[in-house]
Amino acid sequence: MTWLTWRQHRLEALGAALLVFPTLVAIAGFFIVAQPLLRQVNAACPGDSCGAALQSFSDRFGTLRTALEAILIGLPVLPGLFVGAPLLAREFEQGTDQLVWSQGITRRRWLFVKLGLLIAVTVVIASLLAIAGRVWFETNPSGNSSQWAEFDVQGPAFAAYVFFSLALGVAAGALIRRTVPAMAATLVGFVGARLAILFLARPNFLPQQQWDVSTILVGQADAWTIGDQRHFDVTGHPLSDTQWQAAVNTCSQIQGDWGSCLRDHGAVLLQAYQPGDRFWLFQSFEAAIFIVLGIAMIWLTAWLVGRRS
Amino acid sequence: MNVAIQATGLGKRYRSGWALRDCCLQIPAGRISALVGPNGAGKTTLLRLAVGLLRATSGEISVFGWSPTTNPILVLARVGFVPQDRPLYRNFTVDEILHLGRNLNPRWDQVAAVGRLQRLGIPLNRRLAALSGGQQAQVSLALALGKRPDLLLLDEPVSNLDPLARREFLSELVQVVAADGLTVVLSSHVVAELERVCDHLVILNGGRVQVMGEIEDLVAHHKLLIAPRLDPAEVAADQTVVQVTQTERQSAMLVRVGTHPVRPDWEVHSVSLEDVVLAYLGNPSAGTLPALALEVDSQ
Repeated sequence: MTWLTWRQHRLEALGAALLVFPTLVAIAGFFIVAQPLLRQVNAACPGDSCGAALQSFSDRFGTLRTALEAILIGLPVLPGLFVGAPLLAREFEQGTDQLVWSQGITRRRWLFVKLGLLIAVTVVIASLLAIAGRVWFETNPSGNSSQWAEFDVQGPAFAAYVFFSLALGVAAGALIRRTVPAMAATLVGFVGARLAILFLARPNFLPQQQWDVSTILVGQADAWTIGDQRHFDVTGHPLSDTQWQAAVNTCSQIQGDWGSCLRDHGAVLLQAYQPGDRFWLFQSFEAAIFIVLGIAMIWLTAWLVGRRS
Repeated sequence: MNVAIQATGLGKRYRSGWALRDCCLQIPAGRISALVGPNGAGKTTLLRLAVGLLRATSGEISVFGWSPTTNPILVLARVGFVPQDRPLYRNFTVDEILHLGRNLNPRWDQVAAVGRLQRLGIPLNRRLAALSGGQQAQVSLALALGKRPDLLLLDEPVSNLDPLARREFLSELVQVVAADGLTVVLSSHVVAELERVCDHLVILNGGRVQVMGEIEDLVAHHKLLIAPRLDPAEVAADQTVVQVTQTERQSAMLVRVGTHPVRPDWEVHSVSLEDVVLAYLGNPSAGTLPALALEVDSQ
């Protein structure tokens, strides 16, 4: 089975190597080459020349960073498209399911050995990239961006996306039984699940906190700000735009504490956020969700393969 | 008689309807059985049920006494299967497809498989896609035989092959069976070449078993009667008519020989297997099963 799995997937293995190896090298190179400029930035910040130092850093590495981020965002769907979706669909299309399932091992064993090997290899590769993603984030000059902006390209969440993608592709192939439609379904399903979790679930993994923007101008370090700043009255009810504008107009003419002036006029400006120290907790929530989804896909596949209809 | 495949009340329903219904049959061990019937008769379904690729909707099927779905490992180890259209991993080389067989089958016989293909002049390092249809069929057969099966199931193994490749395939098959004494079930809708190869026949029609028996007996117990034109009902009284062809002056009837003597003014002709099969396929309501054939035997 190991030989058969290798024989049937060596092209995908080559493709993965051609994509992943340069990415790892690029990140490692970035990490090494960026150190001198990074030291300059760290020396200048915070300070008067901080802005200029950050600017020269992003002039030099901005394009590379954008490209790497795009690659790391896009990579996890590929195992689903090119390994997962064809895994069963191509066998069904070519009739070779009848060939391989009438050899001397059960179809369940065939499926689990094959899936086990492919999942093991892809998760190992994904973990390397997830670690590289973290290293890459830490090479960012502080103050340039929050770790939350690179949430999706590092850590256990990234590895879980890869696992889910593969499992989703296999299930789509088992259900649809044709390669190209299964690939399309995998793409739609993967992007849909990622966006749904990103926009609907992740901001609410734990209750959001609010800070009073009008009194604390500089936000909490490494916090994830969610949505726009919104104005309320002091009892926490939404404030109409006209009332808010009236308070702002009044206070703008006043010297001194702008925040307490607004508060005196019954207005508060709040920003919803998730604190920075929840980052790894949220990573593990996100990873758990995609691991559970992936296991559900494998369970569905095993059922479809086992029912013999 | 040792039984290789036994089906009782076997039925399989797809979304489109019943492919096989209330099917009872026994395939004798050590013989080459032909499974014959029009397209859509349920031949492929029956073979897939026997190898456990499908699960029966109703009834039961057993292979050497084991259910292919509840004891797959026992059945799979003993059954070689060449599916319809002889699918292979077309980008594998011949060597690699044998490697697959060796990997997945505990009783694999590499020496015999390689020897068989070399004797046929099939290069082992060639990609399967680059082989002719006849050579691909031989590779499929070698793969199925390499696991040293006790039962070999072949679904339309010679379809889409040219006449020479057909003959080579079937003669290879007959040689192997003669040497190893394994049981073979061969489905086909082409009857002509079966008589030379097979010794047992099952006709499936509309998802049911219509005829089952030894080919020798079937041929011996069916005759073509030529009589002056008459009403078939007259004949039906003392013979079992399978098929009647009426012309202006005479009636030709293919009958299963009954207990009554044939009238002296009728000509009696022997028939070939093909005549018998075509007569039954043309008349789905006629049928002969072993129990009936045995009655004829005993009298």
